[in-house]
Amino acid sequence: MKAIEFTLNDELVTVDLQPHMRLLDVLREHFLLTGPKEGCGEGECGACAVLLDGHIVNSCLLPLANVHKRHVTTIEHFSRSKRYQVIEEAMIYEGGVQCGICTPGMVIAIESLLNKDPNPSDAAIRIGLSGNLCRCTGYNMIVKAVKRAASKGEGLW
Amino acid sequence: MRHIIPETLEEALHVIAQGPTIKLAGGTDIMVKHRASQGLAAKLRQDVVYLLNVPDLHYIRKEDNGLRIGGMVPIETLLHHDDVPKILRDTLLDFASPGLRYVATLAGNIANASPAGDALVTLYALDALVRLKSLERTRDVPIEAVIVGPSQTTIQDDELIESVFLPDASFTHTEWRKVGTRRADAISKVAFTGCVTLDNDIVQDIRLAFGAVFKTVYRNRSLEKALIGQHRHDVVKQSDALCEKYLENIAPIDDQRSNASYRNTVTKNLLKAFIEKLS
Ligand SMILES: Cc1cc2nc3c(=O)[nH]c(=O)nc-3n(C[C@H](O)[C@H](O)[C@H](O)COP(=O)(O)OP(=O)(O)OC[C@H]3O[C@@H](n4cnc5c(N)ncnc54)[C@H](O)[C@@H]3O)c2cc1C
Ligand code: FES
Ligand code: FES
Repeated sequence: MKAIEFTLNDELVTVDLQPHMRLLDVLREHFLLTGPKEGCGEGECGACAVLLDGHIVNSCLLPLANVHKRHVTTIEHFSRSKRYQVIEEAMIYEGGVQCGICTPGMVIAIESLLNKDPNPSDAAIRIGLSGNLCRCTGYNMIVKAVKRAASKGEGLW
Repeated sequence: MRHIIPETLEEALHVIAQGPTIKLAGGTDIMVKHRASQGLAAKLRQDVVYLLNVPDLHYIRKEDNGLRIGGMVPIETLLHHDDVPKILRDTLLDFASPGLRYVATLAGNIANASPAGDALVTLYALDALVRLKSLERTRDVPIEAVIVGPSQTTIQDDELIESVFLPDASFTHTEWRKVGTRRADAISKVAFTGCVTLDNDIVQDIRLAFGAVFKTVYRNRSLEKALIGQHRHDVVKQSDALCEKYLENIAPIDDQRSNASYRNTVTKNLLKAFIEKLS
């Protein structure tokens, strides 16, 4: 088996780990990137979300082999961007964060959505966030935060 | 155990020709089914061949009389592709969530052979042909001859799903309905695809496919055929009788998601609503 190489947070990495490990475990335990969290471990909650070539994926379902030669971005790296700052301000302003466990995944979902659709309708926002569960906010505040981020961050996406 | 990430279709075919393997596409079924404890690799007990990123299986191409979709095209790509028939895009919008759709594939949905596979309901209605390829042969098989029961297919060890072909069809009216609990992640309790073509009020073509009410997706060609050539009003008049005939033939199960009697009722309501739209 050849080693798996991929771009992680803008750096080319090569890992000699079992290819059928979950990307989530590789990120958390090998790279100590603990932004992505394990909620359900079955693709239902979105707490483990990361970006694969700029699009949201559930890292708990992704075997390491499937990211070979692709780009993975976690919240740790995304949080250094201008876009992140806009999303963060909007989430705080609208009260979109309470306990915070869903937040890293939620922010990844928002970035993935705005990346494709910089000015999403309410319906598009709800579809964009449909894979991310939040037990605290009731979602409306998060939907508002996406609207605010889209308008404050005009031109960034 | 060997793990192979082939770079070409040719290489993948050589690998699967050597004996049974786990053909892993997006992994959204496999990684859940073979989940291990946190931190440990999935419990895969055979050689694994990772197909998702094989470039040869990522294409969407118009051919004479239809559209060919490479087996590893993610569901999310299909959802936003103009050449994909609207009824299939309608269906895929209800398929899981954006994160899942970006890696889940049509080939995986077919080979997983769930009676509740959403894409399958519409692929049955569209008379999809599945292209199975091995080193030695290529065969185009109607989807209902590929899937024989829950998790059971006629795909051989040395074959993989190379692509899916959707014959052209222009319907007057199509409808997709999924009845489940939570939209994004719910496996269907009952799913329905209806397609009809009318010409001067006469039914030229009608296709009715049901998910999660039988051991495979259910389509009854003889009942459909009996409706062809009839005036739409006459079809509407038979709607109750037609529902009864479908209920006699389907065989829904009780499981943790729903029970047979609920599924029967929903099947009837979905079919009746579709037929009555012809009035
Ligand atoms: C949270 C969640 C929500 C889901 N929601 C839905 C839903 O709404 N609707 C729905 O229908 N499904 C749903 N699923 C099920 C799953 O996502 C789909 O069945 C998906 O299409 C599987 O594709 P995959 O590429 O991930 O397949 P994999 O998991 O990689 O493979 C599935 C099966 O297909 C075989 N296989 C894969 N590629 C090939 C090939 N080229 N040739 C031969 N065999 C092959 C594999 O060996 C395996 O048996 C959901 C799953 C999860 C975890
Ligand atoms: S932990 Fe991955 S979706 Fe819940
Ligand atoms: S803020 Fe607590 S789960 Fe979303």
